[in-house]
Amino acid sequence: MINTIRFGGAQIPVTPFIKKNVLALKKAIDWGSENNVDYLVTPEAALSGYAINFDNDIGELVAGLTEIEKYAASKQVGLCLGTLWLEQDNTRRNQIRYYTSQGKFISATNKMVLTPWDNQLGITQGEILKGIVIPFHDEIIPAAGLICADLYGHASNEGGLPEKFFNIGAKIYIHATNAERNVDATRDKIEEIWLEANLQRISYYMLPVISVDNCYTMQGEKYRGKTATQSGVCFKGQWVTKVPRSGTHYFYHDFDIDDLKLIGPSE
Amino acid sequence: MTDIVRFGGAQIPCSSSIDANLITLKKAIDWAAENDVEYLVTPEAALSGYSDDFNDNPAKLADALAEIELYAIKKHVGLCLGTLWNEIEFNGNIKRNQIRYYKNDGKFLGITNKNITIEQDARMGIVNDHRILGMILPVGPTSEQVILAGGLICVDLFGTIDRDNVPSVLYSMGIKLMIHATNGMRGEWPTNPEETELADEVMDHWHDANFRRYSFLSKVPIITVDNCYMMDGKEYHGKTSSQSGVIINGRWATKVPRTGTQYFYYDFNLKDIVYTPPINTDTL
Repeated sequence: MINTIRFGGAQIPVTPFIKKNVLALKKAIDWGSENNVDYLVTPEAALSGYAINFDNDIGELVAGLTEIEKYAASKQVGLCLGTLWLEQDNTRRNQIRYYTSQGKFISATNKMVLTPWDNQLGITQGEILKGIVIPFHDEIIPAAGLICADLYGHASNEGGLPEKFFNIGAKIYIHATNAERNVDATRDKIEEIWLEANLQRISYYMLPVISVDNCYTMQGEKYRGKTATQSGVCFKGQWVTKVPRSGTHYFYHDFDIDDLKLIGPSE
Repeated sequence: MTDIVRFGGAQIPCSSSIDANLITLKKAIDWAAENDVEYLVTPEAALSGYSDDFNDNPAKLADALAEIELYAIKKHVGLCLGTLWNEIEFNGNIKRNQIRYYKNDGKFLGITNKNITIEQDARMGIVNDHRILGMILPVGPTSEQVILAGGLICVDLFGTIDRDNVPSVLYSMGIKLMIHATNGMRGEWPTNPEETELADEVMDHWHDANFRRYSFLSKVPIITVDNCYMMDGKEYHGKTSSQSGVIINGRWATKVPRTGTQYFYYDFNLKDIVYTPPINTDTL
């Protein structure tokens, strides 16, 4: 009987170049496979990059996604993959796409609390509160995908998504992020403290958080400084695993299935 | 014409006894008078106490308010006084958690009510106010200059779900000072002492991070004042729920120890916070 589920995180560079991002993601999937990770979480926009021209060549983005989907399936690693995406109706989304370890697409959740940069990219806000149901063997795990400001949104007029997801029965927050950094030393420090305080608070009062940041600048320039947000797993107000704040790092955490699984009729 | 305005803060016990709170507030007013404070900020519910029975004897609360008003006039101290109160409004008698503002000559300037109420407020019948209003505070002997301030009570500053973000709405109104009267939970979260310590620490970091971030991003200073007892008014010798003091641009300009009664003041340069009327383009 399997009692734990292993979530992994890949703090990797998110560049404006899809080909580079595909390579970084494949390496992360290799690591995920070697470490028996069930679901690997990436930063926000890890495939597309968080760049103004992300949909200039939609064919390249689609090809990149297909390549990653196939690669992850071949390595039997489930994904919570952050990417900007152009839907068939031409709406631009900032989303997390979820796949089982067999490569089955589960669904996508869209960013709801947009930032000025999302607006510049023409991203459309996620309209409905949509959780995600992650299958794992005979169990299903109700999760909430939060993209960057979605987690901090109580400070905005659209806010309070963590509370809302908690109220509808989510058991874990999957947080893919890529916030601004390298603005100035004071602002970076103030934001770092604030982001950390928010993560600790929601993990204490509500649910565990697995949070994964980009290790380059928000727009994809090479960067050796600190990430905006700590990558790792925060549980009951404390980090149970975390990685260094600069450069590529991977981590995993084994969650007790009993803590995360849906209780009650699953239909 | 004055160049500075002195705001004071009184981190004092907010007990469930109005009589005890009266004595405490008078002492705070004495301190303010001795220190030439123009406006003294108190914690949330400093007069009424933050307890379920605050409204058992409305006449007593009204008498206490009148006594504090007269005492502050006598001592020539302006007040930003936190209290629970039965407010007579258009729709009738509504229980509010509010800050009442008085100039140092005793003139009643107005009220701002708590916008984001919590479970404890609801239990006491306190209704949240959907209106987010600024407060005009005249300063100096002739009151010819004014400050447009925002009054925030406890969680108003930290935000919650499905509501406007109060600091950002006040910021967009053009306020130049945030007055924060608070009385957050402390020392009593879960039953296990270790858990309580962790909960207090998590909330303390979160409060501090919000003070720093809002004051830094908005460039609007915050004067914040907490109760030094438990939220419900029981005697307490541990840390306040949040730091009392003045924070400007992400840094504490003045702050007090986290336990017991503490007073502080800060001299704001009036040029930094005075209200400047918009230019009337019709006259250009």
